[in-house]
Amino acid sequence: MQDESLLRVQDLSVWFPARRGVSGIFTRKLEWIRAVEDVSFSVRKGEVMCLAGESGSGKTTTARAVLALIGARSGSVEFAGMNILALSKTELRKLRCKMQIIFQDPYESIDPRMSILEVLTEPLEVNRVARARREREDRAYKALEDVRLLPPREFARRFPHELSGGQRQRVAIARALVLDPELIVADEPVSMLDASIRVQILNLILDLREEYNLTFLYITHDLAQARYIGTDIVIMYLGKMMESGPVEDVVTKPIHPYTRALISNVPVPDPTIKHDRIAVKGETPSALDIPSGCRFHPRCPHAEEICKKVEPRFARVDSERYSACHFNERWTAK
Amino acid sequence: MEVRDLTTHFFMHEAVARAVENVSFTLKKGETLGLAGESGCGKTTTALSIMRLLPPGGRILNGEIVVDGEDLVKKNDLEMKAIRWRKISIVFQGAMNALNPVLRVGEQVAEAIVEKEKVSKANALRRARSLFELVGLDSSRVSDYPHEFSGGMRQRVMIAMALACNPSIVIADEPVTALDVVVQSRILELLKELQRKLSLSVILITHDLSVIAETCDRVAIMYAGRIAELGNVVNVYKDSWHPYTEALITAFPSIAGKRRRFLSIPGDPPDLTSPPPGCRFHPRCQWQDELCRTQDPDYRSVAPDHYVACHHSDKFRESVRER
Amino acid sequence: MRTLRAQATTTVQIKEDRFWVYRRKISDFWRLYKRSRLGKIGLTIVLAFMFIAIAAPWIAPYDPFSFVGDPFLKPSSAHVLGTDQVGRDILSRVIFGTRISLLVGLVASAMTICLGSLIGLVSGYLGGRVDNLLMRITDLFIILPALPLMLIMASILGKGIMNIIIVIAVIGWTATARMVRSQTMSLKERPFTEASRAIGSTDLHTIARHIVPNVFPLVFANGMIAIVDAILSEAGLSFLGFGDPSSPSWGMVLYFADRAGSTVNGYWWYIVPPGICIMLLVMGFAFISYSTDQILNPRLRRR
Repeated sequence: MQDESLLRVQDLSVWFPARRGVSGIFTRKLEWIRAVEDVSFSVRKGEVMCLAGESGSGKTTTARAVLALIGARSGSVEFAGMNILALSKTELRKLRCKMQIIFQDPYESIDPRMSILEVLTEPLEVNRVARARREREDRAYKALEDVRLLPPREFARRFPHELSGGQRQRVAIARALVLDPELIVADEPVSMLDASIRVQILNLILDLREEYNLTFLYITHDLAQARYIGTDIVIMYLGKMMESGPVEDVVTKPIHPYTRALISNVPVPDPTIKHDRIAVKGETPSALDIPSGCRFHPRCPHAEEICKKVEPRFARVDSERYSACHFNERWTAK
Repeated sequence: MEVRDLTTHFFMHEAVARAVENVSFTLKKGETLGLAGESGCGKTTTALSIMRLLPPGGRILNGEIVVDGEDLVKKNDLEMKAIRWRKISIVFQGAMNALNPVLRVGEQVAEAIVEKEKVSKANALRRARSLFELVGLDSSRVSDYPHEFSGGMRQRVMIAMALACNPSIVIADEPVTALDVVVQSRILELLKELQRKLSLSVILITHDLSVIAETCDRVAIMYAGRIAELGNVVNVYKDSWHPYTEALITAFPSIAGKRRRFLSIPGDPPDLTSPPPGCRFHPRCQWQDELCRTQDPDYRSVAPDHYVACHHSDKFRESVRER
Repeated sequence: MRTLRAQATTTVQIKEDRFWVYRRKISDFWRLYKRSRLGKIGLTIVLAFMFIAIAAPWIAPYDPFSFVGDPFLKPSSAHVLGTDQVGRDILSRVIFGTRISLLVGLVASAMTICLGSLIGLVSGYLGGRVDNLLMRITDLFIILPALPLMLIMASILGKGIMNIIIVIAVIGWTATARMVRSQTMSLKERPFTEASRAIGSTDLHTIARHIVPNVFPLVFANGMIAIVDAILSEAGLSFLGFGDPSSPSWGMVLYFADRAGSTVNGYWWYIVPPGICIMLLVMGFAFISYSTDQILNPRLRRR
């Protein structure tokens, strides 16, 4: 059977070493921050997979690990049939053309000392694509046209500080496009932009996806954004997956208590819609003090004995729906 | 509070930023008024003008801010000191990250009290404890340090600090922007509860239209230093009179409602050192014409307690109705 | 044909634009610099000494190496600063000394900066074991007392200006290394560095294109201090007798002045001028560093 997944993440775990307090300097024992644990999902070509969660959920770390920008402790990331975590540095660099990233901060992700043209031709230079300078410049102009920064020659001449936040983010997208990638990881690309610019950029991403049949891994904490742009979604909490499935399904018919609480608490820009908010007590614990059993149990309004002791499996609930709760059936019955 | 024709400019080396121009609104007792708009629209500057806490270079050029029959613009620094925190208080944007990391939080709240009223430090600390209870924090936590609190709890500390001297008006500038959605709900609920308990009048400043929809009674939509539309929150959201309002609301992806393509507003917010002539929104507006390009629209009432600054609101509403 | 020319124009235009951006940056820098009185004083002093150094053969009344009069002559119209114990004109020696002191100052500090920056960059960027190793070596050099170490090295290497330069550079790189390292480490975390890795750059490319240009302002400010250190180190070494007797650096003049018993016998015209020169030159560079720092570090700027 042919597997159409472009990206397949299996049991990915990312742990960071931590030394607690002063005693850490003297003891040899290392504590671990289990930032991401056993994350698995696959993304088919042309899909927009959203990794959603609050701060501390591990979504950003997962994205970095998927691109091998940080080291993973275990697990595999299959891209175009190869496990990129097992590749050597040089092989990995060759593959980078196909996987690109857009960062959150439009002000910091572009080197302020480079002109836009240089920013866009650098990836081509570094990867020795398009040997001739003119060819590189052409591709840069094409990328600027794709992101609707017209006229491209005018924008190519400018420097980052001359552009607005929205324009800079378009340049970041152009930089990701210039190598003709297949997969683009977008790390909260619009959260630092104004409301009226956000939809511009979101629509641009959707247009580019159609035009070039791109696949996106979209990281966000904003579920409304995820609903707008995503095809599928994975909800993360404290490094583990809580629920996954097609985005419209998960948002309208959530299963996991965490997802349901999260969605009920998202404000709606319509004063006539009143919705009951599910109260969630406490705050997200630090990753050094991960609760036993189900990670959500201290805050879950439905927690029972078993939730404290046994970690629930990320179980299949329906054809495309998965949820990690001991009582999945209870929620799907509704 | 009544604000009339407030105008504040920033005088910098090279140019003058016309941050707020001819802004007028009233804050009714016991209500929550939202000041909504994108970054640079002047909402924070308005708040700082009211508190008379403008950074160097900022000057109120015109206007009146009337509270309890007195015009705050005419007050000198000494008089303002007596008013700040006791009549009107503010929770600044990002304040929760501005707590002094080496002082206990109780001390920092007590410091606000001691500064403003002649009470002993011991009494101030006692008040701090009761304030903590009021905002939903355990009173024993007054002896903890800021880093021992999470983001949401630190914001509660800031709210406690703002309420320290029993003000009647509280300005909250982006109180929940940096917080997770679940914590956000709790802080907003806290604000609503405190407002009821203490009969506060609140000005809530944010760019997040969904927060405004859920917490405010009335809202002023600001754009490039002016108020585009002001009115009851349901009317403004559902029956807008200004093209910007409608565009902004429809450009906000929502978790509820139908799933559809949103239309974005073309262009960028203007540079306040050289705003466009005439109506400041005209370069991005589909209904703009010669009049809009040359003449600033009047801020006028179009319905009871509903104000708009647009030349063609009638035309705009017609086309909306047709849709 | 037209499109090709249009493309060529854009690249040329960018090069021109970049030129204008730098020019504007330099003129902005200069405009801010001029506001600082200390900065102007410092720059004047340093430029004055540089002029003296370059014009020495024409300014100095006598050849600093030849015996032009009786020894121990007091200041007179013929010898403004008198003569030393073998009859050489002190003023001429001090004037020519400017050359040596400036030369040693600039070259030694340049070497210090290069060595320190290289170690700092490599250590900061690579981290891990390499960082550990390099930092422990740096710590070693910091712990060992500088002056005794310099003296030992000087006696092993022997006399000569080049040797002095080497000694100063080898001992003085630690401060730069630490500073560059911490700056590199913070730059490494900035998104545009991560972006550089994400597009597939080699580490070398990332360091050269993104980190070095952003570390440079810091290094420049630090460079002024390094020059001060170098000048003082050279003066110290020479005064203690480890310098090169054949070159009349200020330190060397002080050495001979001390040997001649100037302090005991009150030959102030011999021992004081070189000291004043050292002080002035050091002050000049320090003022420049202070003003530059004020500009480059925006937080220090007074509104």
